[in-house]
Amino acid sequence: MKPFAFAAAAAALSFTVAGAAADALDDRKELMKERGSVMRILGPIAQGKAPFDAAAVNEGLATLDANARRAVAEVDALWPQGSDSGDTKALPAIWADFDAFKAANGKLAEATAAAASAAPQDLAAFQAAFGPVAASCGSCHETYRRP
Amino acid sequence: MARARAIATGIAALALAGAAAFWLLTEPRRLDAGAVAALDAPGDAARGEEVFWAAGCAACHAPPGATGEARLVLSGGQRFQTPFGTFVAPNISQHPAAGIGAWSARDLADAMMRGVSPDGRHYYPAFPYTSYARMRVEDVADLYAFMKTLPAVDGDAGWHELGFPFNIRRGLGLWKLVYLDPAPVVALDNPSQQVARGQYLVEGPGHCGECHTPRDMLGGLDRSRWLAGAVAMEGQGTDRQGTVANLTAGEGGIGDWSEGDIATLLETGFTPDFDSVGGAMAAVVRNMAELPAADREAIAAYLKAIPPHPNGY
Repeated sequence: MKPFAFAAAAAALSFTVAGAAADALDDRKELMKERGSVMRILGPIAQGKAPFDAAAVNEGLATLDANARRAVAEVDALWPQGSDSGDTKALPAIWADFDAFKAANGKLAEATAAAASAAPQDLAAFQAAFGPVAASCGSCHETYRRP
Repeated sequence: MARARAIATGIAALALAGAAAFWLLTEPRRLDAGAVAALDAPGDAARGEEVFWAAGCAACHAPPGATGEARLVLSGGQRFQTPFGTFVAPNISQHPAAGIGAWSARDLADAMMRGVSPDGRHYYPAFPYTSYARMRVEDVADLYAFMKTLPAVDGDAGWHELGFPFNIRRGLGLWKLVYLDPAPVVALDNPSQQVARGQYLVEGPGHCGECHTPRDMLGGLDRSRWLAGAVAMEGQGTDRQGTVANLTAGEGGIGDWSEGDIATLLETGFTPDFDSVGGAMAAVVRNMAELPAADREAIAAYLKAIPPHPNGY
């Protein structure tokens, strides 16, 4: 009886862990996709290719801010150890120095928080606030995303 | 008995002849005197700074992930893991012993354009002299002047870690006979000045083909699929393995990008879809952002003019 219960518990646990890992992959892809969809609105405005719209800009910045805060709060659940295998572009470098990854994650959150609270009302103010946010994208992708 | 001795002597003679042929064929070839006349006049360091960014020296020779002023500290040490072994970027700061502070402009030109060291040895083509071979000597002279203004940093970066036969440096002489060709890669029909400038930047100092073109088994570029994208050589076979984008209009490439899209990516790192490029390209974008806008636009114009190929990976 006991060995069977133990085996069943181990199986259940491993499925849970595997399930949690699969959830992590889906969740963080969703996180990144949300960032991309906001960038597709804010990017053209910042690049002067679309007209400035204060309401749209500030809504986008608020979304990015909430998104980045969630990434910081849930970093351990979103990037659990071992989740660099499977359908993901996460590189092993994330876990090689997880503190450095958390710091990079936090840098984006700082930039989005600053941009959102700046509440830019014109193009120049927006471009100034948005610069550090845009720069954060590439700096993480350089080290932590598989090309 | 006499016959056996004769055969042995014959084999020895052939082996000797083979070794002599190998030695002659692999002789390091420097630039000839006529080609380097421009190196006698002092270069222009301001123009040289643009060459520095276009040639991307910092991306390999500065500390990894370096930004801002740190990119001018060319202490080396970055490791490039390839199927041929691990290459270590050397110190090319102005230190006279640990770096290249004692080099002449001629030394720099022979190194960059022919892959030959001042003491007459071949460099490994992890150093992209197969692209730099297409540079103008005047640009190398300007680059030399700029590099003389950079700091001297002590410290040996370490040696390459290569197994047999890749550790036989002399053998590169044979490799160069096949793969070192300073002629333009793409034959363009009466290109505009802008496209010609783009061709120079991409095929020469920009050395884009070194990552974006597939390689054959000997590590040479497959020029029939120029810029068609490739499995990244750095990290190939490791858990970091990635792919490098197809820059042609072929399937999987950037045919639906405008020239403006390409120029914007080179300046900001953002694709038309507002994805932000990563990996080694992030450092390239930091370099390209330092160039005049006209150069990024020229690169874009050239990329719209090259033949299409499906993905090379």
